[in-house]
Amino acid sequence: MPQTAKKEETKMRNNDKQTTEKKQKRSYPFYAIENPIEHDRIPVFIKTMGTVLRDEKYRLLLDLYLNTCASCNSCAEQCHLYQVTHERKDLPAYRSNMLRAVYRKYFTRGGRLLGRLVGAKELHEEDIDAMIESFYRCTMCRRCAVECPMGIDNALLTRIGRCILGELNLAPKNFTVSSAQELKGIGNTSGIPKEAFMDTLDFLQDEIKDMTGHKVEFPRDKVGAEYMFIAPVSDYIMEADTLMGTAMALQAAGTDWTIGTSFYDAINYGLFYSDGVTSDVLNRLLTEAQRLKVKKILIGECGHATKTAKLFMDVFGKYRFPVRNVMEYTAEAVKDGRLKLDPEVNQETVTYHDPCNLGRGLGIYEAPRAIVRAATKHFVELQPNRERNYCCGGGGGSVTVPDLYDFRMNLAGAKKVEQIKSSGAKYIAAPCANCKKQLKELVEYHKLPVTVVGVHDLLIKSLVY
Amino acid sequence: MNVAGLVIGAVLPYVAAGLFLFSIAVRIYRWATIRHPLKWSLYPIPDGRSAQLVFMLKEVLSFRAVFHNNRKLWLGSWLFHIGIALIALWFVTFVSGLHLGLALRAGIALITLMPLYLLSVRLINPGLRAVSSPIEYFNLLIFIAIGASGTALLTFGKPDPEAVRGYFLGLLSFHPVPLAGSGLFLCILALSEFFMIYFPNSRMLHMVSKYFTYDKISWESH
Ligand code: SF4
Ligand code: SF4
Repeated sequence: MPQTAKKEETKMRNNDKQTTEKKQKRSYPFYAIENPIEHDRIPVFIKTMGTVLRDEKYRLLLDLYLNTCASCNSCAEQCHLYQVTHERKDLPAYRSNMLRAVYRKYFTRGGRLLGRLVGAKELHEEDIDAMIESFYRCTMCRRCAVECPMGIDNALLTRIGRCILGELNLAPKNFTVSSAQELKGIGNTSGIPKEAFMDTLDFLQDEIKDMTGHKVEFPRDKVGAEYMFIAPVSDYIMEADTLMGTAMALQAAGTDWTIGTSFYDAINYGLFYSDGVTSDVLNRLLTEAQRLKVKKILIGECGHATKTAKLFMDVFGKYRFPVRNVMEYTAEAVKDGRLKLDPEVNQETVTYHDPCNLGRGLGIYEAPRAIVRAATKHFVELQPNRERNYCCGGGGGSVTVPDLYDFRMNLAGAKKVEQIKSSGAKYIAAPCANCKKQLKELVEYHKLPVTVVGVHDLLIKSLVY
Repeated sequence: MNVAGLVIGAVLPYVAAGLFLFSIAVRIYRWATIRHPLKWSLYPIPDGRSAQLVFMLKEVLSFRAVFHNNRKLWLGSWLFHIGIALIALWFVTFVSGLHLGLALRAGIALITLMPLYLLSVRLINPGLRAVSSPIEYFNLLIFIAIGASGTALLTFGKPDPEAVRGYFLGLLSFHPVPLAGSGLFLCILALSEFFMIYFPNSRMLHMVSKYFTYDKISWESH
């Protein structure tokens, strides 16, 4: 047996041991959960799975994904997590098989008759516990899907698994609390009241004036504007430069845009654990666009928000709007000459991180590169890049879960750290609030000599008036 | 003519072939007609219809993804599928009058040895073992059994090609000539019939499903 295989073997045996030990304890400290269902989890799980299987959105996907895996582990070779941990629970196909086992046992004739022979397994409490952990270790980055010979996307199965668990209230507290705040509370995931939000916009305007001498406006509630701009609300706390760069670019390009002040958070945690939340949040966003009678929606530097709006509008949306990401918009403005950038002002080496949801999810690979190249003097690619780029390690919403910090720093983000180190870049640009937060934490934790920025941050200096 | 010869040699071939085609058609019909409102695209999407066909063809002919990720597994699966193709080639040319003996022998050797090899790869690699249910091994064993009986038949049975051709032509023209005598040949037939009935209900239908996962899901741009 080759050396690595042996290592994996021992590791797996240890894992098995740990799992049995855990079984006896049955406490579940992977992340905090609010009001989990403690009893009758099994029938609810099975019933919810039945509903999902009949759901028109998923029927074709699931029929294909659940029935045709060739168990070849090509996905595992591509998974940034499995490549670091070599733990059984991080094998994409092993994780998906957790769902397949239930599907076969309770929803297929073959599985009912032949049981374990065909991979069907009766659902036990421990299986649900194992899923609670495993589905949140996967960062839903879809790197594995690119290399699946059968075209299976294990990230979607992760999402479905999480959605089923979500119906049992088994989701990280940070998701449920933030989503409740966005839907029923103050109206956004960071709990920023409207007055404070207005003040922040004023503050950003002043900041731009101080820094560049230019008067740039953040237009508000302008009815009939062409674009409603909406960013993840956390940017207003953590990513001032990105927002300033964006506003400067939009104004310089002569855009007719506005920010809605009744709903101003693009974050939609529903993508990570619940269809109900996905739909409700998306409809709040669409309602705001409808109120302002804008023509299009322009989403800021955020991958998951853009993907959710673009992909789920057809199935959940009360209204329909064309959705664009600000990368596409700015790149276009650079290309057609409405924006002039001076690369000389950014002399340091800059690299670009493809957020999973913008890249693999939406195919926005070249637009951000065009902007970065136009705004900086020395651009280097991360290796690998584009559809083979590694997840930052905080995908699937895990970056918002503090309990997962150690996991993100040491395991999920490990490949990313290697990749950044070998790029030799001084700056890493990532147009996604989730990625930025995770990357900043990685840089600090691993003391990397790199600064994390957004793509529009680079425009503050390089924009030529 | 005995009962086994009649059932396995003259009745079951039709039942098996009928079920085989029918079940595959049902599956394809279902996949082709399920409305799929959620877009779940995965980029890059090959640009244009011809690029997409080229991509699929490349994947189907070369097993590109597995080649890239596990060379050992690739070697076994690829040669194994070549073996199946060789036997199919032999069959088609055989009933049309040729006898590509070498293709048949090579094909049989590959569908016997490669599954054996794949079985060991799967058992030795802990990652593969962790994702395999017993059915994975069972699928390989069916082929080993078919291949082994084929080898035995060719080595010890020395069947008369003309008689075998006559038998197949009889089947194809719906005038079955029951094949008496050769137990090994019946054994191969029985295994193949079982396989034909079983195949559309197994994950081996991936040869068809692939088209749908790519075309209807991953390449559905928004
Ligand atoms: S790459 Fe695809 S077919 Fe292979 S094990 Fe993973 S999901 Fe299954
Ligand atoms: S989606 Fe990403 S994290 Fe999840 S299994 Fe695939 S490669 Fe691994």
